[in-house]
Amino acid sequence: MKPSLHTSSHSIVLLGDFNPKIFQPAWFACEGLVGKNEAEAAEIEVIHAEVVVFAFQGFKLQVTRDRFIISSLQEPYFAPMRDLVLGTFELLRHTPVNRMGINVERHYRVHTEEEWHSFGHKLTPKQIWNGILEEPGMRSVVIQGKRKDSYNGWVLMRVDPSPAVQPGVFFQVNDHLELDHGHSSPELMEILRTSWRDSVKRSVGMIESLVEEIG
Amino acid sequence: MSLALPQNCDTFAIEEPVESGLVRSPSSGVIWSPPSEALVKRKGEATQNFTLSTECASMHTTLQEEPYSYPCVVKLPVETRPTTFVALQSWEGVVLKVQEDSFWARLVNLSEELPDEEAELTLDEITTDQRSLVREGAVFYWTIGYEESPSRERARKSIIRFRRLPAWTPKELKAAEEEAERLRDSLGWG
Repeated sequence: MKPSLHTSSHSIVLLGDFNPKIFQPAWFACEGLVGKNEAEAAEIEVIHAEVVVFAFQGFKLQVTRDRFIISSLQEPYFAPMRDLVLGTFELLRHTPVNRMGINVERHYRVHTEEEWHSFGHKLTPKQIWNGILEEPGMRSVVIQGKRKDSYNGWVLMRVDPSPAVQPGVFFQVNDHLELDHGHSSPELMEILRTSWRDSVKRSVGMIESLVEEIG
Repeated sequence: MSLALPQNCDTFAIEEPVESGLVRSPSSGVIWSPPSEALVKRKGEATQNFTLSTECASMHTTLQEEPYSYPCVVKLPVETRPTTFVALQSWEGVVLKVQEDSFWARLVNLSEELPDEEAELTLDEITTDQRSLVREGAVFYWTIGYEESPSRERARKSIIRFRRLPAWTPKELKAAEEEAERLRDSLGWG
């Protein structure tokens, strides 16, 4: 029986030089990037000069001096999340941003433990570990591949036993881009605007290819 | 290297020196600042050693002459299981025409390779926050699927979100017009 999708999440991570205090719900509402009611209903965890963490309905924002992370566990908010990043850095176009990760994560429920173990053995054959470890089991596999386009960076895939569903498998794809000359927020935003949908589609395709190997 | 989010999306934790004024326990969610001498002063009380421990830091401090002051502890709720959503179908739409209580839109199916469709949606489907965004040419995302709440209740939902991007400023509009004229002239289309 084919594994079933349990949860799907998506995040956009930017590395650069940020001023966390700017990124408050009221600012987003003032700039028209979220609705007024949405900003008022935001769940704030931390607002501090060094770190801001809060959640709008559907997605969560975490900003430190060197990292901007926006994430969502709800598919209806994936594209609006991308728009929020584009809108934010259109307004803050002089913010130095030099690296970006477009990340997809999925948890799948596997129907039997035998299938789950079999997939783990397929990814990480255990013969080499016998005699070194007692009852070796796969905890995590991370594989990095080259990008097929002309951008600098890599594509990283990670597979773990899922902590969210048992027996289950967690897949993560990190589509990482970096600029090789200075810091350019508009350039990365243009890549985000034109390549985001293809990146997510490609990452989902990669995950589904591996899911086909289960069972 | 860009940071791919950890699995449960809630493992962001800061561990700052106590001196910076903010420490957060990654697992319990407690945020506290170090004891402030101005906070509590009770004259005549003996000094005492005091140990405060969290899951990520422990602190042992003694005030030599003044009695202890209590740390400010703000206990944040530990995040429970989040709300999740698994999509069954999703579309990207463009508003074609707005009527009194509905609008027509062209829909591009994002889930399957199907031809574009046109559909009429009622304004009741749109949240009040977004009503002002419903105008000709506006882009929106429409997803139908199952939402699962933290208490594991499942509900079928239809969610429409309109695209929000910053409005063009008059200066940007003028620059775009000038660029268009320049291109037109260079192509000899004048």
